[in-house]
Amino acid sequence: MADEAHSLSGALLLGEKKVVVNMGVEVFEDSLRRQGIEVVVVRWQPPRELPQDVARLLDRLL
Amino acid sequence: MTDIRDNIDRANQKVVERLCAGQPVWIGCKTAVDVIPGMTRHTILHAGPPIEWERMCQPMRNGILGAILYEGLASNVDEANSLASSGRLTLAPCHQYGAVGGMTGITSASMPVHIVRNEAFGNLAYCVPHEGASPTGFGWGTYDEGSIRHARWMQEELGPVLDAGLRAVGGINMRQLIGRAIQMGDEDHGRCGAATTLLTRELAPHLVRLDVSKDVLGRVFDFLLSADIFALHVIMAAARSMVEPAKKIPYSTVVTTMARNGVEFGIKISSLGDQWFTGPAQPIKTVFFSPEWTAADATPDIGDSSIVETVGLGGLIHAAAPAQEAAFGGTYAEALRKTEEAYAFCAGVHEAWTIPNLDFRGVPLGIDIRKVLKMGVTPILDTATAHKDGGKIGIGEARAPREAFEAALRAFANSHEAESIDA
Amino acid sequence: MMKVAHLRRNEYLDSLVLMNLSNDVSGWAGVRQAVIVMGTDSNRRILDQVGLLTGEALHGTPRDLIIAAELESSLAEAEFMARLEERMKSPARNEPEAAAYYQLEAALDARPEARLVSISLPGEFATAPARAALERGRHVFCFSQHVSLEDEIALKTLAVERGLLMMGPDCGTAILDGCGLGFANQVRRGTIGLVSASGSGLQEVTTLVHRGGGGISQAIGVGGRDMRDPVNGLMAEAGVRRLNQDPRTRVIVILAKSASPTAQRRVLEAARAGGKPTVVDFISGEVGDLRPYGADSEDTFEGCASTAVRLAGLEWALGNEGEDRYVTARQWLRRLACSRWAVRGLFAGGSLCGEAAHVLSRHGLRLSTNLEHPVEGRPPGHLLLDLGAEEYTQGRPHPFIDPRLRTLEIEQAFADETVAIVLLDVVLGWGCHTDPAGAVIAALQRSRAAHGQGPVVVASLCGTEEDPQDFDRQRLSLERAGVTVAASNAAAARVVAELATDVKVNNG
Repeated sequence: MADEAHSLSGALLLGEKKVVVNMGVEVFEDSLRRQGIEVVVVRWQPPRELPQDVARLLDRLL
Repeated sequence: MTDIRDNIDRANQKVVERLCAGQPVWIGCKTAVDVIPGMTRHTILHAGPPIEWERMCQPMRNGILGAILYEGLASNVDEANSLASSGRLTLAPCHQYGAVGGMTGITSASMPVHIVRNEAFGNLAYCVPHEGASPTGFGWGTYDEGSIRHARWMQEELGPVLDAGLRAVGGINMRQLIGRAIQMGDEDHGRCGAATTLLTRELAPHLVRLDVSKDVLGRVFDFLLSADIFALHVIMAAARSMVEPAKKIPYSTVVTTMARNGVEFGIKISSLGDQWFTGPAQPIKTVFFSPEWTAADATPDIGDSSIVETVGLGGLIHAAAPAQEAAFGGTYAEALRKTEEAYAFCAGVHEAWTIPNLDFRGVPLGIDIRKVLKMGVTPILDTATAHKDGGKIGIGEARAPREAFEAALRAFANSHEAESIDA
Repeated sequence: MMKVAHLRRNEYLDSLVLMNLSNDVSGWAGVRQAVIVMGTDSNRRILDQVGLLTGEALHGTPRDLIIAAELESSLAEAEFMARLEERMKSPARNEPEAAAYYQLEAALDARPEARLVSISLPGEFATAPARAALERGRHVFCFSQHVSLEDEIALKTLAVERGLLMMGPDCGTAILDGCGLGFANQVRRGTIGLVSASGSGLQEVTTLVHRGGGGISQAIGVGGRDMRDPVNGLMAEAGVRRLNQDPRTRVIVILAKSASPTAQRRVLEAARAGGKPTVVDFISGEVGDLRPYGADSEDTFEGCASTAVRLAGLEWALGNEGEDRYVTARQWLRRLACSRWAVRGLFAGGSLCGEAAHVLSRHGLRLSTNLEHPVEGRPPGHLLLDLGAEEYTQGRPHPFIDPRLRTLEIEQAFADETVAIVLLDVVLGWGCHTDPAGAVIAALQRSRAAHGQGPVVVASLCGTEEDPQDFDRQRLSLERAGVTVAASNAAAARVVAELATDVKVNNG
């Protein structure tokens, strides 16, 4: 019989391959890698300051 | 009531579909005044959004002076200067005439122009051939004897030979050719080596069978093989033919034109047709050909070549051309990062132009001004750098100014004001 | 000596990158001190405290990067700035960078095998990617604070609909399939499963379970507000149901700083449905009647851990080390000036602060804390501060990573003539500072140099011998610096409660 833990959906939270997507603090990327997890990095920059009217328009249009 | 956002998203998809459906075919190379509708002996076209003589940068003025002398509209530089500022010439953007032009974009009546027909929609587009390896010429903003002689040669030998060759080959499908060139490591703006090689290969067997002297043929081949960049202006005409059918789709916020005149950078967005929205032309991050030049010598971003970024090439796909990134001392990781950025502000991808390194993902297509502004990251434009007095002095990349995108968004919102308030 | 203050508008760097940069630059020859931070209010307060809020720095906004430094006359400002420029450029160039995405959606489409997204962006930007991840069928671990309650409920509702976990916002830690997320300790795998609305509580219980001989199956964080009204245990219930189904989990532990009656009922009903032995610790909050649910209630993390280990059929292997060693502390206390009588708790972990407050109150001490509301100034008397509270963490790293704020607070406590006992938590684990004991010791040395022997220092050490920081060496170096190290946070608080009683007797 297969490992009981694997046969039950939900028993594994990170998936078979243990890949985690990290968005934000880079220290967490490093910690995950050192624990043997593959990390997929999503880079993020805070949006530039927009003129107020443009920011308002984007709220409505995007 | 539907949210305006749904209308925008749908319209943008439609624009992406139209861009993607384009079948640009390079069909000829003929004299501008004979083929460009509305072109006259007194018309001189330039790159970028409209600009009066008084506000033009020096390279663009130089190109116009050169064209005046070349067309025989004046017999010396002083006369040319007074004619240019007299208002008796029609000085207009290439874009207004269905054309595009590299750097200064100077296009006058007698010059040969590549003709590209978008077979899917039937429209035509034009672009003066690239000047090749020479660092001078009207495009680079010089009007010396050599520039004029080179223009004359292109008119008398290059244009007719290419035109005859294209007739013999029955036209070259640029959609396929660009797709193949990307597979070979071109981003098709700064790097066009593969595209130029492919074009030459298509043409060669037909050119050698033409009834022209070996001398002429020899000069044409020397020219084609002198610089990797020859294909760029054909690609630009192809891109210009692709964007026309994508214009005027109501609700769309996708960019259908990006062009610079050395003073201003301008965009058009689909739903607002041929209205220009501008911001200041940006400085170019340049690798100079010689240490004698610095940023202080450079003209700000100039030329219609950013039409290729408008259709998802060039600065949007450095991941496809690691060597382009390396030319500027960048790493492949940086190339990937820039391309991911482009995916993030585009509305879709081009299904036929794929990037091998990204597991054959289509190139990012359809720059959405909303996403550009939201991300605060504007498109990268690969380009060359002109000296502030004319002449090619380097290659580099520039970012589009966000002001143009902001202006377009404001105009878009105005045109939908009633609706937005309801929604 | 010269002060330098530069502002770079609209330039953003990660707060950790900036912390490393500041530390590095502060060590340069000719640099007295350097602080390079985003211009948030709390950062500007820090600049003010160290005398660097001058010139352009005064006008910094949270979107601007502030470069502030104090230079010796040997280092010219231009040279300093040029070197800094170089230093700020170099890491990007040298770092061998893996392929990075700019769009979460693109990353998720390209990597279907990635089942979890960890988000630690500034709170106002965390909701959109969290939603995108859930919509694409991924669990979310959301470290970010300052996400609106409305968004939290919407995200968690979406997660429940899709059968996913939405851990957070404000979720400091989790241990999933043996992997620590956020601030997590390296613990043995085993049969005890946790659902926790308390980050440092989860760390304290999992490390005590480990040190007490047990192991962890899954430790699911749900975020600090999950068990309170109006979220009312939305995700804690989902977490318990998941543990019910997890064959590895034999015992369930549920933690929260406080829990609304609805949340308590919800999680306990879920636990009863699973039929596994359950222990709860709602720390200081009111605990309803647990009898109908057959659950055990504890009011310390230590009690929780030992009960869970016993329920798992194991022997509790952790003694009360430390508590019998406070003889030294007591002697030290006798030598203190009569003016010193108050307890000052300086915590990096919010729930550890809450637990200490609970233990001290139970021993009859009257305390001020910032657990419910920020404190104005430094109220006289016993005072416990959670330095990881929102008012201290806007735009700067958590005190688990960045010890600078606590360093300042320790110096202040020494300078305060009424403080007799300083109580600290030293937290180890993934994501935490590489040498938190060292940072405390450096602060103590500086404070003692300035203010003499000063107050007695009692600390707890949260971690395991498998953590990236060396647990035993951390403890030894603290002890060598005269710190009384207790076996758990609750034990440290008990030691302090008794010492405080001694002080009263001495002074009385």
